[in-house]
Amino acid sequence: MTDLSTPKGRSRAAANLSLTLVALAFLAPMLWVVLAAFDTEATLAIKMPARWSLGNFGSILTENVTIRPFFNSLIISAGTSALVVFIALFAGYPLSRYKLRYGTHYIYVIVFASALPVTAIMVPIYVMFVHIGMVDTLLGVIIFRAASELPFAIWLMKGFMDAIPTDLEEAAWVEGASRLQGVTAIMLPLLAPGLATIFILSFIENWGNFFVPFILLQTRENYPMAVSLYSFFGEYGEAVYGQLAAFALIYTAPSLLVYFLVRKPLQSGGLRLGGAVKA
Amino acid sequence: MAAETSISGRVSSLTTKLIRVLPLVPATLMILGFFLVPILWAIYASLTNQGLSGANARNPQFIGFENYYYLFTDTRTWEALSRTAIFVCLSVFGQNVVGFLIAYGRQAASSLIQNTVSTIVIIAWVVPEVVAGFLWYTFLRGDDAGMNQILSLLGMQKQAWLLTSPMAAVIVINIWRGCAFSMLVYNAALQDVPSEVLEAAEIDGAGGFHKVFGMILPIIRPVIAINVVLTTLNTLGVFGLIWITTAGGPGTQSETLPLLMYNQAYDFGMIGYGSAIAVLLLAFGVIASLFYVRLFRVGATRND
Repeated sequence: MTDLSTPKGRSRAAANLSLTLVALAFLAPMLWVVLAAFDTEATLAIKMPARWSLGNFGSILTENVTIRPFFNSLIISAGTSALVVFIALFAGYPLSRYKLRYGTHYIYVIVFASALPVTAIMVPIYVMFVHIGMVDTLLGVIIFRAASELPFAIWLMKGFMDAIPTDLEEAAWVEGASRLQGVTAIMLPLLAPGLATIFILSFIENWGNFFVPFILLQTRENYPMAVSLYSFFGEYGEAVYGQLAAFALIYTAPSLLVYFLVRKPLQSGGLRLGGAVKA
Repeated sequence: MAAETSISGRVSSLTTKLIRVLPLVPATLMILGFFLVPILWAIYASLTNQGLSGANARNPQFIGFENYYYLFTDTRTWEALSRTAIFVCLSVFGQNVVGFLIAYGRQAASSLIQNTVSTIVIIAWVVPEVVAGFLWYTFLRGDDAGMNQILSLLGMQKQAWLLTSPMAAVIVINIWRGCAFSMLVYNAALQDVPSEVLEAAEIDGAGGFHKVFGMILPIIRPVIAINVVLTTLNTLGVFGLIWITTAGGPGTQSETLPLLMYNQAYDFGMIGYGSAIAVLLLAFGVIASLFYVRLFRVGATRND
């Protein structure tokens, strides 16, 4: 228990109380979805289900509503993230290991591009994809999502590579290893946590992204969960709140799950922008 | 002999250089192809009457600055522009202030509360955009929905929030969703504030207000600057949250630039006109990005 007789105790109590209120305010809009998902007679009101039931989950677990969109999301998110990690791995190496004449400029352009609002280029991207026949394909979504994730990923990748000392690689070259062997045998194992971080951050972004597939995809068979939830909502929104809530929970689960894998480093260290700005 | 070695030396150094930049080629092509080309194309298309379908889709005519003329003489643009400004300013202000206050309060709180509050705030951030929009839609929508339930418990007036104050609603939703990022940034920044400075102030009897405004904020100012630019850039392109909760309505009451762009380009099939709006949006993005790169360079030289 906190001791209210000391100033430290009082400020702790005040902090606890106000943070509890903040937490409740943040929690309030989320409460409904958890209760409604288990209530086959859900309305918009936040209320305990009269009878807890998995009926909502049962009725949406069909191929068209949930299963196919789930796999489409998985293909888009995993495919994009893999492509991003792979390309950024190549791009990061020279930026980190060589003194390139325009290396710093390249990094500035990358930082600049990583900050541009992607929303603004969706109209030209759509028209471009119509011309090259990639509209309404998962591959089209993957390639554009990868391009838009790349600048940030390259920047992160360079940071992770910079943190690995060059001595180990140099020692390997002295022993007669080639540069490629140096990378695969020495650097990659040390880089693995960094690669995983980039993959996971990209995965969460892609899993949640709505606008890109919303613009580029047209047929229901290709919809990822974001677009599927949106159109499901538009069609049946007024009638089947419980099912929508169940769908929302299923859709949210993977990103929460994946997030909690990277939570520890994020929460303990936080996002250190002061360090991140180091070029 | 000497000349020969220098030539072969030059050749091999050229190949070395090529080999060194070769791994950058795929990334560079992707970024040029899917960023630079669309941007240039948008600028070009904004000078044509390109349509989504029909004759104007096949053979767009060059019409000069006509789109921009219409764009800037249409009150709808100015309204969307001022709404975007309000949306971005208040969202960024709210996310930074609330994010900072949570991070600051966390330091004094007990560890159970610390962890609970950050987990809940972060969940709001990790939840997919469409789900966040859907949650808030159901929370604000009906007469007996969550928000009104809470208000009537407190003895206050019920309202159809998405209809009576759509802009306030989308701003609150965006603050709710974006706070976690600022909280994490300020958590880290506060950890880096030297504790001796604060302890010395406490011994001198400085209150919380003085500590925050006189010491902490000046120390973490570079982080605040970068975070403000980053949250601005993130907010500028917000589409899904607004589209799902209000769809820009009622009428056009919550239509920001990205929604205006979408409506003109897809609903009305005016790609040229939509591109002009895209160029406008990009212009704001470029300005904010340049600020970002500038702050980045300052940080980079300081760290070296």
